[in-house]
Amino acid sequence: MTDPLLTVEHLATGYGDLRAVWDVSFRVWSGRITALLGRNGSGKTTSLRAVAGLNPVHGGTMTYDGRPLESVAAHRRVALGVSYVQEGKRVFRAQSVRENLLLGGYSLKLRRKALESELARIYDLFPILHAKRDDPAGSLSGGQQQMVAIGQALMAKPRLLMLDEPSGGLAPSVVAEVMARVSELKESGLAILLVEQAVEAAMDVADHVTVIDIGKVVVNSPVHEIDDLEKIKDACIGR
Amino acid sequence: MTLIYAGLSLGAVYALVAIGYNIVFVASRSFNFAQAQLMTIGAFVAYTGHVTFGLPAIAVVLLAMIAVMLIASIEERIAVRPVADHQTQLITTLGFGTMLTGIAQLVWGSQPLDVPFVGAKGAITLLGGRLYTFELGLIVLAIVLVVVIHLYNRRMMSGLALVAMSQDDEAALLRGINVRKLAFAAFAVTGLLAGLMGFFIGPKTFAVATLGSALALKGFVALAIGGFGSFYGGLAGGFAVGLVEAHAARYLGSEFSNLSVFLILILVLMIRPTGLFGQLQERTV
Repeated sequence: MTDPLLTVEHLATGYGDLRAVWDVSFRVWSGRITALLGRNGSGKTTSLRAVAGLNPVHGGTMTYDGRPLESVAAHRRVALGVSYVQEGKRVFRAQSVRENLLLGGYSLKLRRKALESELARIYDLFPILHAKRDDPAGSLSGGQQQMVAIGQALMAKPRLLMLDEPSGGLAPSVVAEVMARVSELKESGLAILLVEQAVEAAMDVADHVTVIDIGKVVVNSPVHEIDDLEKIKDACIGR
Repeated sequence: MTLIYAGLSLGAVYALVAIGYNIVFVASRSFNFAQAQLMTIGAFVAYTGHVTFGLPAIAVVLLAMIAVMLIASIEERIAVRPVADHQTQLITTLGFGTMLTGIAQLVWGSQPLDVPFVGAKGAITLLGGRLYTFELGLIVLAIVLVVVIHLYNRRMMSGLALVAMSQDDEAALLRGINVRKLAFAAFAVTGLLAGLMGFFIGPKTFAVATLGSALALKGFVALAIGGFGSFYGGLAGGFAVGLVEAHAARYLGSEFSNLSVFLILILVLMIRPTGLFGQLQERTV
């Protein structure tokens, strides 16, 4: 197996001095999807925020592309290829879809003209966004806003894409479409870290699964070695 | 017509204050209550440049802009950056403004100083009314600034980034925008513009240490009428306040001018609580 693009080992993090994650390790490979699962409050989002640079690291290491990530400022991590799509479709609601996508490419440090030509990549992936390009992002449906959020992240030409609950609040048919797009992105060589409540949908597309509970890893395995999905579901729902 | 010109030029002064508030508000969701005092310092520096040093107008403008930008940068470092939340910044920037008023009084005294304008302070006739050249300059400056800022926010990447920051600074950070740097830049630019504005308002209002607090209040009213964060709103609000003030002073007596301004404010806020051009911004979490 090739070296992982991102290796997180014994991560301890939280909000300010408040500790939410004690000892979490996971790895993400280029061209593969790692699903990070766990029940509400288990520390999934907190871990992603630490990788993105939003939360302070209290202990452990994060190695990205062979170098430590902890000392890199959050806005510079984007330029290194780390893109984080937050939970809850955090698009810039008052700005148009096109402006949202352009902002996604901010870290490329290109002139606006040059960025405009990058938009085609995203419109190919999500044709509906081309039709809605001049509408305020806040006026779009939930699924379309999720596409804007993912499109923004892709504009930055990431190598590592972290998706936090991309299926949250979406209709089942839309979830299927979003997951299909996520699989396509994997085929293009992206390393994807997927956080999901929808365990089955995530397991369908994932290559590797890490389950955490109360800030610690309880399952860490390639998906094809998992014979009992119920065990994973139990750990995620907390029966 | 002359009365309308008087109202518009007075309104332009308030609109300029509102523009200053808005730039900082858009960039950091906070108010810089020292904005009007920064402009006042700009007017004083313009006076010193014109009268004391006898510099040409272009040098005076540059001097005022650079001096006030430096002061604004200092303000950002000591009164804004170390203070975490926006509510507290209201107090610290207000305090910085009060300090500026005090310093202005120490340096330039408490007598109003007549700031010269480009060339002589001549009056011209335009569309059946008379106004001074510096009054026309004020109106044009306010309109041009608003149009330029609007285009900047729509066309330039850094402008788009500023507007994005104002909606969700964490999401902006995740798109690779250096939020802190941009917020500082916005502060420095407001200082630069406050210097420019000071050069233009000085001939109209005179340079006097107490000018800041008078402008701060009316500028805030202009902003509230127009809607926080809206540059066209601030312009419209400024002109509205100026026109109401001028007309009330002429027809009702000068003691009614402030009263009428606040009456209009209350009326607008009763009908549209977000101001004429304001938008309610919801945020899903």
